Amino acid sequence: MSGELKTQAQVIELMNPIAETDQLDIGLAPRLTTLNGKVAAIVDNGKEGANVFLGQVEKRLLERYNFSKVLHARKRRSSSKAPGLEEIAKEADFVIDGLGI
Amino acid sequence: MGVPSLPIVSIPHELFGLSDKQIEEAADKLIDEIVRVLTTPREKLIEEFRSKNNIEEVEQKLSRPRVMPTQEKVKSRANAREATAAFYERGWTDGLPIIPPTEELVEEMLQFTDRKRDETIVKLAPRWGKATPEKIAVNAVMAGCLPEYMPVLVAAVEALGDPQFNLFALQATTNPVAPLLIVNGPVRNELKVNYSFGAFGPGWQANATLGRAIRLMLVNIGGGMPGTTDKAIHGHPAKFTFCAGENEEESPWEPLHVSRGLKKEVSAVTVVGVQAEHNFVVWDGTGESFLSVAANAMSAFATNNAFHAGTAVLVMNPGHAQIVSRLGYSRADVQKYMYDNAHIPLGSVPKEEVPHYQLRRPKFGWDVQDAFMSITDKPDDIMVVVIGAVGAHGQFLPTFGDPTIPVTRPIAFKDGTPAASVYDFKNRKK
Repeated sequence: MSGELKTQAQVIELMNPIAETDQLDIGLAPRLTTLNGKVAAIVDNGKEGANVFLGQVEKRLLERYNFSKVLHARKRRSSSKAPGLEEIAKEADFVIDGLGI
Repeated sequence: MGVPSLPIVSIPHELFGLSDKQIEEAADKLIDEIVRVLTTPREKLIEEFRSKNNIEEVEQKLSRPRVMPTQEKVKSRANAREATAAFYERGWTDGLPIIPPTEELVEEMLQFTDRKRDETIVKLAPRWGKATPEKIAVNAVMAGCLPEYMPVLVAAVEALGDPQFNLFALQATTNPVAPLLIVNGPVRNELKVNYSFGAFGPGWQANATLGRAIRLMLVNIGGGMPGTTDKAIHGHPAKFTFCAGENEEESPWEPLHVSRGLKKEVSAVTVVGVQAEHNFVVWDGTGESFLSVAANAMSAFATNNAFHAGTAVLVMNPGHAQIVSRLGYSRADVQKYMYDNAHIPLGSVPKEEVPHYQLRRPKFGWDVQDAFMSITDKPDDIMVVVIGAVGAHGQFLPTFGDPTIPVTRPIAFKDGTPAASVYDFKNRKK
């Protein structure tokens, strides 16, 4: 009995279940000094009202700034990847991404 | 997850129920803030974030590896309760006791793979954690798996990492969706995966621990942490574990993996992202009544299939399958029947909900009186699987809908050759 207790009191080393990831190195992107002349991108998550909200944001931004181009992507389903993200990743200077439910 | 200080401009309420004008007004109020976060120097935004949040707490919550290096070992006294407590406080368990993953136990598990211990098999979303044999083995030991389960876990992880499965969405969604593992082929008997009485319930080590190992991996490798990155509103008991074999012996049809393109002698695991089981009872012993009852049960309103189509799973017990088969129905015929008859009257959708349904199911005649929508977009999307024992019960498993597609992977060596037995992996050259 005492032998069993002593065994249970021994300190053991256990392996770690957490996986390595490269994602931790992503930091906040440098900010822009002005939005004029930039390539804007608007990503709509496809949820109710997102297109109305983002459409209004785009309209207001266009009243203030001259963008060289505005790119759009809209998720067909909120849980699926939006088509056109690769182009946006390559070209856009900034992205306004609709999140939430 | 990798950008905890990402500036997010929040609308202080949901958009549900607002008119377009109200939504536009909400946008007008936030436009200055949107411009500000795009043009304020990065360092200042980070500083703002730090002043409003306890950065250590946020990092611990969102990115545990910053706090706990992935190779660092945990010291514990040699009993399961203390080891469980040490892992639980780090957020590494499902809340149940674990088998303490000692190096010795992990090594035993690694005997059953022909891959190198640090080789990345796939990366699991949303953290894009590298699923290596070593990390799979650690989580499998914790879950209570036997070493010979390892080949099934490797195949299941490959399936979960297939882009078609869309694990990112399943991990992060508010929906109560969980991966169901269906095991087919000779490995099913070798590992004693239950496929008969109570196959979805307790009592069998392989079913219980294979499913549990997958959940622990989704947390510890994929980073799907309940309440933090996993935003399920209610969750689902199947998120603890959900694994069963197909009852191939008593099924009148070819096994599921054969219907999905593999040879019968190959072992395979199929992963399907499902919601809770909807049980139905068929009292009459005729095949016609089974088909009718099943189609009605599958016509359930407001499941993700109703909303998003995609795959819908019909679980038939072998008795029902045999009766229906004797009527001349093949598996494909049952799929076609359910496609034709499992449908929802469009008139039952409240008018306020119609625009939401129309957006996702546009092909139906929403302005036509007495029109119906089918629960899938094609017969092939009805997955028919024979699980359980002879009896009156059948089950409909709605899935997450079309954002996810089920994936089947053979139990195979690294070069793709299917393995006849899990024991053929043992001590194979890595």
